[in-house]
Amino acid sequence: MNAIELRDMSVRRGRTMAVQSVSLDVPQARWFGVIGANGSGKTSLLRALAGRLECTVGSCLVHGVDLAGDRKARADAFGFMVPAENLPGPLTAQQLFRLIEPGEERWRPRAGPVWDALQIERLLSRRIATCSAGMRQRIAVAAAFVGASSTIILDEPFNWLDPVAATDLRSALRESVIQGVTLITALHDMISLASCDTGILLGKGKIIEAIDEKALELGRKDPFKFEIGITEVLRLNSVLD
Amino acid sequence: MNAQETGAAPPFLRNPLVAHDLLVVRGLIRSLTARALDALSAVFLLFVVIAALRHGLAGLPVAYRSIAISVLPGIPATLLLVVLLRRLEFFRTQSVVANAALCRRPAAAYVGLFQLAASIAFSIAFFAPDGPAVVLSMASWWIALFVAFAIARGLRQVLSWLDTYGQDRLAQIVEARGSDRVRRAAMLAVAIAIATVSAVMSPTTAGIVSVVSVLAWGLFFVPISYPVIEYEGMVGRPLRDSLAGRLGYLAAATVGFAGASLASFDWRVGASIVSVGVALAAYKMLEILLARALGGSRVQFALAACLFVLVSVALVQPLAFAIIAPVLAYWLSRLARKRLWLIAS
Repeated sequence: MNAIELRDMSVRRGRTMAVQSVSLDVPQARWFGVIGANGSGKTSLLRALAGRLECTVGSCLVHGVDLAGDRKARADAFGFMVPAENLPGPLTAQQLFRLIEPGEERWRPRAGPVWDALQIERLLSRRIATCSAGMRQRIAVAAAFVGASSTIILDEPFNWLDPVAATDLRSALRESVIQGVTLITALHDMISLASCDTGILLGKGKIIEAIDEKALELGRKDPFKFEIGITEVLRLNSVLD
Repeated sequence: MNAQETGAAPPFLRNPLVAHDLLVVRGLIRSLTARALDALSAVFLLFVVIAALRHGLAGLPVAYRSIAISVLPGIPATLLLVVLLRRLEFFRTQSVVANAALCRRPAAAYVGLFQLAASIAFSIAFFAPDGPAVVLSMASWWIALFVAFAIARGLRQVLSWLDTYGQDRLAQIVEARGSDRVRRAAMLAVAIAIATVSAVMSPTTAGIVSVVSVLAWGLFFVPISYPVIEYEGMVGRPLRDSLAGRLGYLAAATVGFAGASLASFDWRVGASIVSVGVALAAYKMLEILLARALGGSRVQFALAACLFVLVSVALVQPLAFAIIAPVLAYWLSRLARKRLWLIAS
């Protein structure tokens, strides 16, 4: 069974239809990547999926149940990474995680390899306001895993991370998927995209291209060629043109 | 398995939204009290506001006083409701507590609890030990709250309809509702309304001056205070925009109160507003400049020393003050390297 099935899902933001008739399947325990230019609708798609925005039209099946009309149920169904810059500065990471899951002994098992890769233990007692952008990003990523869900949505998780942390996180995310987590990530770099199992290329709110396992396998073998190919498609579909 | 079964402490009142904001408030109070001068200013301001308003209300004729008690609580109740509803919207879209914010009961409890705490604090601070006045104030607060809530719900439906079906012109209005310009205009309207009502209800000059000055203080001080700008920095608002926004509020409030002072034909009202505004702006500019040159707590010490010298000199020898002040300003601007006040213009 697929973890998520979207059928003709559209999301309106103000006067703009940010996502238009998107249909996709995300199998369980797989890593699904979403890539697109700035303003292509990646964040809107993920936020709508996680109940942070209304689904204007279409259906959204989560483990076979249509939750398109129920934002709360969608919010409960996913672990969602909030923007790092919106984390509350006066709180510590520990206080933040307690709001998501009061049982501290559950945080580490749930986050699994991600917990160690991001070195969260060191950040727990630190006020978020005093953290660097990279540290906040680590906390934001870990917060998505601390809840009870086994389907995690991450919006550009590698932003602001140093190269070591980014590499470790990539490995940890793969390890989580092997352990049974379903992962949906919006991405901007090709190396991370090539780490996914499947994905889509989004442009002007629509799916331009579905990226299958074969294409990603080729991407892992020849990253340079893969990057040029994806970049060309993105350039042709930039909303800023 | 829930938190109780594992022995873990649940969020405050089992409501993550309340727990979240209580932690935020605690953090902001800590950052405020970390700076001695800011803490003293806040406490001083609080006492002045309460004392002046109590004095003004006590001086009113009985009939006017009843009207004031019935009308006055509606202003903070409405403002707090607007803040809490905006906060809930933020929780729903961009926070780790979205799950709770999307649930009707925790969201209603969040709004209700903060309103209850604020209404009790307001009524006791301004009307105790007059029991009937406290009760009337509480009742007025909650009536105003329900009216405002009903209006907000209706307005939301209208805006949602406009979002969906509005034509270009209407849609532009809808989009503009979140802009700083509209918020400043709203602040201006509120300032004019408050000052005009104060002027009508308190016909004595002293009453008008005290009420208007105190409100001006409140409107100036709170938005431009350091923790607010710091907080906006945390959530990604550039310093330039943040300062410009604060000064916009300040300008809007000044224009509003100045308009009301003109309406009351009393120059002393205008003078008090201008002097308060200039003093606060000077204080903030000095603080910003010193922060560019010095670090940490030394800023507050240097600022206190500077102000002490300036005020002492101004009192004893105005001519010397006129010479020293520009020299000091030039020296500070050299120290600061960047003339930071320009970014707010």
